[in-house]
Amino acid sequence: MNPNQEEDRQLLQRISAGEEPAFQMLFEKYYRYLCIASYKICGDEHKAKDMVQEVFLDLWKKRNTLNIHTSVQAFIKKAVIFKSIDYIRAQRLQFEDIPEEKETFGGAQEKLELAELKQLIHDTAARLPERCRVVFFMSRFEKMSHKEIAHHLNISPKTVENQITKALKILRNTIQPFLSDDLIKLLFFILYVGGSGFYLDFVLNPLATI
Amino acid sequence: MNQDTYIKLIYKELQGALSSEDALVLQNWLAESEEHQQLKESIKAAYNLLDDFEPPFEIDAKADYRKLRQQMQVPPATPQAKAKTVSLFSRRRVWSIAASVLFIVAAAWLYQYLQAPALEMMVAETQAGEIKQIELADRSQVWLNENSRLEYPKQFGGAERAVALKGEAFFEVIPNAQQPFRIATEQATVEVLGTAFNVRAIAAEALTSVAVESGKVRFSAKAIEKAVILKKAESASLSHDKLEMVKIKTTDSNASAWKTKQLSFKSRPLGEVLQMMEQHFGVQIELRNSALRDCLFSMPRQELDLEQLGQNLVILYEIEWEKTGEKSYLIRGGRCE
Repeated sequence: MNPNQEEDRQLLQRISAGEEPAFQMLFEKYYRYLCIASYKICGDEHKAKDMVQEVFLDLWKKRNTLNIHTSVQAFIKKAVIFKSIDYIRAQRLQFEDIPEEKETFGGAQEKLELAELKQLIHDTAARLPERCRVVFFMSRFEKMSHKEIAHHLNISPKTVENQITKALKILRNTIQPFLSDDLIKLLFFILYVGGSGFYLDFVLNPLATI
Repeated sequence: MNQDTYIKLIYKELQGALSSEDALVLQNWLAESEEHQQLKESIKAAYNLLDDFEPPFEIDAKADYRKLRQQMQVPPATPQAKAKTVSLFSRRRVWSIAASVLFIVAAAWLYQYLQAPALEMMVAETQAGEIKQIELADRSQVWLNENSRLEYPKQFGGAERAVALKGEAFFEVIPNAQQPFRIATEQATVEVLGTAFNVRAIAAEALTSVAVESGKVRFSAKAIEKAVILKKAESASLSHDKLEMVKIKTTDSNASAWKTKQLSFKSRPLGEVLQMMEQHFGVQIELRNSALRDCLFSMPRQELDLEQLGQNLVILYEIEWEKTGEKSYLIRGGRCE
């Protein structure tokens, strides 16, 4: 068990004994992380926060009978994710099985800074049509297989595939006008080689000795 | 359509799940043209940029814990009452800026009240296609939609702040419990408890509607003993003929879209979505394939121009989106499930 899991385990023991400060520590430690995880699926700020709080409240209510053998973090996250999926199912979003046509997005051909591009993609992703977003986020962020997503949302794996493809197309259409060769190279190195200027210097100036 | 197959392969590669046969297929396709490579690069870029995706809102763990704690201490018998108290309390916190105005207003009002001056009435009117923003004496803001008329006093005096509306307006009212804000329309009265909301009282529609964005209003009919209190994301309509008041909880009421310029849809039949688009953008949209009318569409609140929305519909429903005139569009083909 790594030190973080050890710390969580101790907190959990104290919580079982009814120590509220320990519960508060656990809450403040993971609250943000869990709200973000929930939001990625349900797409609603208040709903996400409510559901995370409900999970924690449940944890507190059941503190005497808790039996978590694995990572506390993973356990709570799973609870939050499933709760979010249930919420989405209750919304009864309709899912369709259709591929599509061409795209004609005419964005202005301005240059965008990397940070701006990132913001743009994040905004577009958050605002995807709901069905696309749910399926795509479950795949991209929760790393669920098409089969798992299909099972959870009660749709066919083909629909899952199609929704992901649609999401990728919408994201691609948004970003495409602003991608230059330089930006692509920059992205490659920052994301694959490591996010530090050190590598960037090396790339841009191959003759420099490290 | 072919493209989709390769997009799926590209995605598989990004997830690290690409078989060697598929990898070869993808490689051959990429070698075919520069465009294919560009497609892959942009999808890859979009995918990777999402890496540390963060939600577009603030998260205050300490504050939210305090909220949660209340639920832990309170016995199950009275959760409702507690919640209401909490929400009012936090609303006061949110309106802290407005609260400071409240004191200034209260002081001014007290002075006015003691002076008891005659009220000088002002009139603001808009023509077709015009939107006017008006600041009232208490710093409340009113956005008047086209073809509307607002009568309001230059200074607020007396026990209440009273204005009269014909047409449509969006209000942002500074809270002042000592001097309630009252809007009189032809058939109804809207009493305000510090809030942001939309009032629609267009005589020709024979309907008076109120949609609340935040805060609370009391919406009452003049001709009958009917009143309702509306909170955030609630709206109600009073029919002038039937004298019936109907309340609806709607998180996707686009009633204020003319002012906020933002639209949102939550599992709305496409037929209604198109109607709202027609109204919002001032265009005509002909839907040839009536089977599409019942497709359910959801989209979070955002500002979109008509073309972007059209292109999203093309992607989602495989329709043809065609501009047939200066302000008219045609939708052909397509299907939902």
